[in-house]
Amino acid sequence: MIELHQKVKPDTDVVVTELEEGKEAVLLHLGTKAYFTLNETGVHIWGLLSADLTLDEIGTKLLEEFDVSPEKARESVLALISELVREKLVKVVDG
Amino acid sequence: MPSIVIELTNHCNLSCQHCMEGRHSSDGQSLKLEILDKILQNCKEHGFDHLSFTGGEPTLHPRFNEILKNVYEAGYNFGFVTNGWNFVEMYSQLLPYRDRLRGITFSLDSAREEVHDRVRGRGAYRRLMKAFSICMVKDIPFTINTTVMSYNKGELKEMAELATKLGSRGLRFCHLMPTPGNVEKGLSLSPEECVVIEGIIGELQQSFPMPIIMAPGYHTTNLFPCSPLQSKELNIDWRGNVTLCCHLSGYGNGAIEGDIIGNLDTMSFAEAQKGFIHLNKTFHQDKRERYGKGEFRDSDYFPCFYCLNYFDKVDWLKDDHESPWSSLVWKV
Repeated sequence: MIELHQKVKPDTDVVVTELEEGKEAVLLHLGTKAYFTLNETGVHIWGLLSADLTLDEIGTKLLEEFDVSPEKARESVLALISELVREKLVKVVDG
Repeated sequence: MPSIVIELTNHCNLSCQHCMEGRHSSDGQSLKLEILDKILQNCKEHGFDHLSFTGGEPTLHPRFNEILKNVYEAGYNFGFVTNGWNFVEMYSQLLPYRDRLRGITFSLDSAREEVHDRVRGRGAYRRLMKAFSICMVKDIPFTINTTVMSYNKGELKEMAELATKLGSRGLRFCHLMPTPGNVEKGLSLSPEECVVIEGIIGELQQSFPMPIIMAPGYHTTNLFPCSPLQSKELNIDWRGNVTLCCHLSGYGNGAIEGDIIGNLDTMSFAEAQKGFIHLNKTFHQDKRERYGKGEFRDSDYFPCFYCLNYFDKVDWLKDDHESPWSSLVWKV
């Protein structure tokens, strides 16, 4: 189970397609050939994955962009990243 | 559904290994809109209600957006073939006209990134995957077209699996007609290999729920198996030439033009269609006569190769004694 102190990075086999000026994105894993859609928050989180941040830090960054509580931000990050790990769209970097 | 295949441009952004030499270029030219207007104004009354755009890369026509609008407003259904390279940048142009867009055919030459990119250029595979992603989200119908050649002949099932997973509404395999370039690169298959490939595709058709078809050109005893020869499809090249078939148009160096009926710059659509029917009638008579005389060889059951022979477009092959197609060129 993924935790807030961990970092993840996009799998190199994932093709990302941003739509609607970043309000939506589609992830396609070249291995599984499964599509995965991200909403605007998801696109923002995805963009932060390459910044070498922990999930907790990504949650904090979300507060700068979206009007949500810190708990809700961390919850959103954890929920999305858990799903992305399950779908093999990201890899856990450490821990 | 009678349709017109229109080569919007011979401009192409890619330089695919198997493409006909000289047919497409990076500084190509495009169909004049006046000719397209002539088609739009006249072809419906002659029974054509569907337009298929090819190229080159048709989306590179400098007035592609205007063409979509004109086609839509004239009430035609349409589709086009694309390499998908610039789909991310251009797909939004399609959305206002989606209800008449019957489908996009993407050219995908391998289930494997390294093979597709080897054929079409680095990055081509991933760009195509982005195009599929957009189509899935925007509910744009698409199919996949795969040219079978030496590089990918062993991965037909893999292609069918990939197309299924990607959400393609169909998969079309087509043979690669021998050209000096692809013969030299060892890309084209022998007639015997083509027949084996067709057998494998036949098995895939039985085992996959997705429609899998073999494009005309396959070995068949049907003398007139394709839409052009059944007068259900008219082809117009980027110059405005009305030709019998898009496979013949520009084949080789384009110097031998027996398949050209005339040019829409100087003839009416009605005259063009009359010429098309006349050429077809002559072709049918000649082919029946050749068949009736018992002059058919096994290779003549490959209809595209038959046409290449009929229109004297494979003379160059006579001297290429290493090619398995060489001995199949008609001796005149």
